[in-house]
Amino acid sequence: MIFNTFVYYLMFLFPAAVAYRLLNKDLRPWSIVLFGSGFFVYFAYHMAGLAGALCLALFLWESIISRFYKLDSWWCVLGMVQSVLILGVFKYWNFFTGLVFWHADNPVHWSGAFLPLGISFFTFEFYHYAWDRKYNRTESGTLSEYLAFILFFPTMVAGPIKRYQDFLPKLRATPKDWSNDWERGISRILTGLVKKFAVADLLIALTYHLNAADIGVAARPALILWLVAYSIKIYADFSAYSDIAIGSARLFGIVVPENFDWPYGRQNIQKFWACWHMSLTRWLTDYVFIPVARLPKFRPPLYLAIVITMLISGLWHGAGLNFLAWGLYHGLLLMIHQQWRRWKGPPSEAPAAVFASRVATYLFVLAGYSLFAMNLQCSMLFWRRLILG
Amino acid sequence: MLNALLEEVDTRMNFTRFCQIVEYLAGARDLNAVDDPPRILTSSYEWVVRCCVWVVALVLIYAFSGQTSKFIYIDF
Repeated sequence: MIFNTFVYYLMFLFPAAVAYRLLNKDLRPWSIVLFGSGFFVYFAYHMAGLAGALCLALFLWESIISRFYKLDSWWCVLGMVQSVLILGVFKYWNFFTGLVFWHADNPVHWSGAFLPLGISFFTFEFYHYAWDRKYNRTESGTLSEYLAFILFFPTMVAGPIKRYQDFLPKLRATPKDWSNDWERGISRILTGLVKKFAVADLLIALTYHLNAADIGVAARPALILWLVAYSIKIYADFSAYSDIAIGSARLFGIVVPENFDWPYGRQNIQKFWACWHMSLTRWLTDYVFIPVARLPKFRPPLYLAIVITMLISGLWHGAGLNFLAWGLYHGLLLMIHQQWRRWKGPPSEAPAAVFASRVATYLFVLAGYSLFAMNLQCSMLFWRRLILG
Repeated sequence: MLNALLEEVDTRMNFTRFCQIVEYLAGARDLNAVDDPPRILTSSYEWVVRCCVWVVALVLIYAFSGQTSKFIYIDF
């Protein structure tokens, strides 16, 4: 819930944004730390109990370790490894051990497993900082500035994934133009809430049917309608979340990265990914694709780097074989697109061709949602019913 | 013929400008980042437009609230 609760606005966002703007330069980061900690403990406790709330210690531990990061330091490597380990243990432990012990009961199954609030996003910000400090791409900043970066609650739970070097100048600048920031910020928050309440939540009536029982008895047009509804719902839902996060940040006078730029209706799959969950795409490009493509001893073909990146993207979206298959599907689409461009040259500018490519791209993305919205068995049933009736 | 028709539609709608205006009204873009903004948005009555947007948004939120669900990406 979080962004669609009164508690978020009345207890955290408005008081924090007002306090941030009224305090002096030295105290502003600490106000974010204070409210961010309160936000994490409050919502994590409601979602995962005491153990969830105690995960605030991860932020404190990371902030201590981060003070040792410097150019070419092993501390940075440790920071990256611990980010991956934190994510791996909490999110993927049961998935991977389940794959290892697929033929029997999993003896190391973690029955009390839970996901700390926002873990997929804050670990990516931890990793980014460690990596960029290792290669001296960002300055260290003070402890309060780094804590404010990782505990900035509007973007803590589900992004947009920030970069420290972008965030720091905004944190250090004195916020001005209060009225414009608040007018723009509140407009953005209201837009997000409208998308969530009036579009995404309304479509649940259709997307709810994407399960084996309903698919088994549905007619073809209904299957297509449900999948189209899912494509609209996921876009409305996540872009609504991003709107509220970006609008909330604007109340502080802080501009955070955009996440969506009209992704449906793009001319090819590469452009789609450049406009869909943009902060994640940029993160994967900088910290997975480029390092893999430029491995010093074994330089894999470009296609392999693309597929590896999209497999990681798929796995990041969820610990399930369907998400891996979804990542692989998009990796293959990107690979085919690259090959197609090499073969056919630059795309035609004729309006009919542009229109056709926009429709085709949407249809390919739409087909992929069958893997995203359902588990593998259910997805196969969906396609069997759609093709064979 | 289809190409000519689509070109005509494209010219009339000026889709990019339309998107920019929608983004401005949605709070995603500042007015100085809109190419050739409509006169109503640069006139002294611009606040009326913004008030209308807020009122419509609040009415929609009120009308559809109560059926809300968790954001999908929170579980990711």
